[in-house]
Amino acid sequence: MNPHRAKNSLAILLVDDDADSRWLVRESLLQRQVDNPLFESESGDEALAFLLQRGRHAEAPRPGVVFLDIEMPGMDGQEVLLRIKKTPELNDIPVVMLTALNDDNHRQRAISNGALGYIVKPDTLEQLGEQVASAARGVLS
Amino acid sequence: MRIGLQVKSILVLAVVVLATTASGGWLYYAVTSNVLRQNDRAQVEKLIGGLAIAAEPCIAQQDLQAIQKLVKDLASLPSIRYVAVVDAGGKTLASDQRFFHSGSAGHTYPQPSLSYELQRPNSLELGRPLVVKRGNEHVVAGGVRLIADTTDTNAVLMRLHREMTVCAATVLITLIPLGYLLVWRVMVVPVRNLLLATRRLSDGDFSVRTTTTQRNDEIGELAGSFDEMAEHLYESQSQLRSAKDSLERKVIERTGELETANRRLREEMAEKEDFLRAVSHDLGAPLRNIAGMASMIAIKWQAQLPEEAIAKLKRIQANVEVETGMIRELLELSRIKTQPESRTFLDFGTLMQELADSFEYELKAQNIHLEVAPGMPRLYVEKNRMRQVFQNLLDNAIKYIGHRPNARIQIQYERRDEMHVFSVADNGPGIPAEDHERIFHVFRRSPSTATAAVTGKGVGLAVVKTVVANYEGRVWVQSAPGNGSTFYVALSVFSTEGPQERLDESAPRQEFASHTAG
Repeated sequence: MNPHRAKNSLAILLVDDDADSRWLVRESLLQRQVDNPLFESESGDEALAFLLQRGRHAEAPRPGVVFLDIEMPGMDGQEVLLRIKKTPELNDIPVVMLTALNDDNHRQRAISNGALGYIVKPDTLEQLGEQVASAARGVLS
Repeated sequence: MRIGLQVKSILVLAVVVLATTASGGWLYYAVTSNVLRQNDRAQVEKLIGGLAIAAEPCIAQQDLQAIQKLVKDLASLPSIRYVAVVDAGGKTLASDQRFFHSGSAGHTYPQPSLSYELQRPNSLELGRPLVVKRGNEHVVAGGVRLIADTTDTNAVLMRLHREMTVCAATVLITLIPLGYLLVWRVMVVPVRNLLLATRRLSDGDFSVRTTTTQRNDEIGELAGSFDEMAEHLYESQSQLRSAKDSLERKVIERTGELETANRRLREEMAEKEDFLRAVSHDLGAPLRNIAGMASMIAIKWQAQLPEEAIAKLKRIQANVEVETGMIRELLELSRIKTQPESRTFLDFGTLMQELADSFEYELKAQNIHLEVAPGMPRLYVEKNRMRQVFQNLLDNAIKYIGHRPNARIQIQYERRDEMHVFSVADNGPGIPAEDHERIFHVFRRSPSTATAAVTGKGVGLAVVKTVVANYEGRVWVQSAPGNGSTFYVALSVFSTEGPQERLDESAPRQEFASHTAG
């Protein structure tokens, strides 16, 4: 039995338009034995549809945490965050921003809009793995 | 009190007129009274002469009655007040008086022979001796005395005096207003016009001209030269005004141009900064993926991949890390230019010590002796930016010094006029003169020193230069190949002076002064 394993049933939703980034996050989590079910959305619209169980996501589980990129085409991460927090049935889902934007304005806006954390994508895989895994464990446990 | 031209001219006129009429009147009076008195005297002399001639034979013959008759006849003249004939002893022989009391009838005159003349206010008294021939000798036998009334003459003179006074007063009263009018018309009005014109001129009205008609005297000349002066002033003033107008127009034009240029420059700078940030960020994301994926492949398929492939994957990672580092620094450089940090008082001695501690590993590994001179200042600066400056300089020095015997880095400070000058000197390989400028530009490492051992990023000195520029400062290098390098950082005294620091400095200085004085 994995001692780090979080509540098995809780899913993780990863929202990022960049497939490579998603792959790295996924592999990093797997490497650090965070093996909760991981779902991926490549846009803000799709993420909202998943959360609201609409369309092809009718069977989607309610995630225990959302990792949300900011810079995405169409609806950006800040907008997605705002919508999640304004929707009564979603606003208790923890959201952690995971972005390359090292910008105080974005950080403050996200935190004041209800984000639980703001992770700036680090330069090395090592650090990325550590930060994402510890955030996931912290939220899910 | 101000005494105007009018008052002065009236005073002068009064004095002149008064003096003229008074002296003229006095002269006339004197001459007239002299003539009248002479006339009186001549008449009285004629009378007394006649009396003497008539009385001489009578007194010679001792004919008292004839003498009394002579006296009576003479006394009947209206202008005669008193007539007397006396004998040689001075005893009155006969007298007649109309105005004196009779007691003087027996009056004795002490010197009957004396010929005299007495002027009194209203009378003239004459005395003459009576000479009688006795034998061959002329003998004084007595004298005659006569007092004539000169009241009429005096009355005439009194009247003359009065009339003269009245005349002088009349002249004075009529001449002064006339003279005043004359002075007013001739002097005061034009002078006053000139005065008003001058005042208007001094108030800046250069179109003013004197209204004085062409006059051929000093006032006319004065007015003429005033007009000339006003004309010159008007001309030069209008020239000045047009020059000023055109200058102002030019200034406005230039200001507008400058503002436009400035705005464009600011826009371009902002755009450039945005661009730089976007590029840095967008370049960073794929690079991060490259490194992450290479690293992930190396970890995930470690067992399957040959050792060489794993090694190359590590190289990919290392190269990407170098590039992300450069991009990060570019981003930082762009931030230094656009976003100032808040300033605090920073003790540079402490800063240098902290830096020495942070480089402890490298310094020990390369056996470099770092020396920080005492007396570092305390300045009002952006703490982190200053740390970056000296961190970059130390980093460079350590990197380029490499491994050599007696490796040494010296940090010194000196106040030069209005600059705080710091220097970081190393005894490394040195930099050729042709590179002294370019090393401060982004990605322009000195090619001759960009050896394989030095993994420089090429942004460090550009950061130093940019930070120092925010303090009206300057950064430069003194170096020659083989002689080491000294980097200088100069910060302006004025842009590193904090608000309270001035007070803090002045207090102990005064204390010190009082100590030396005591």
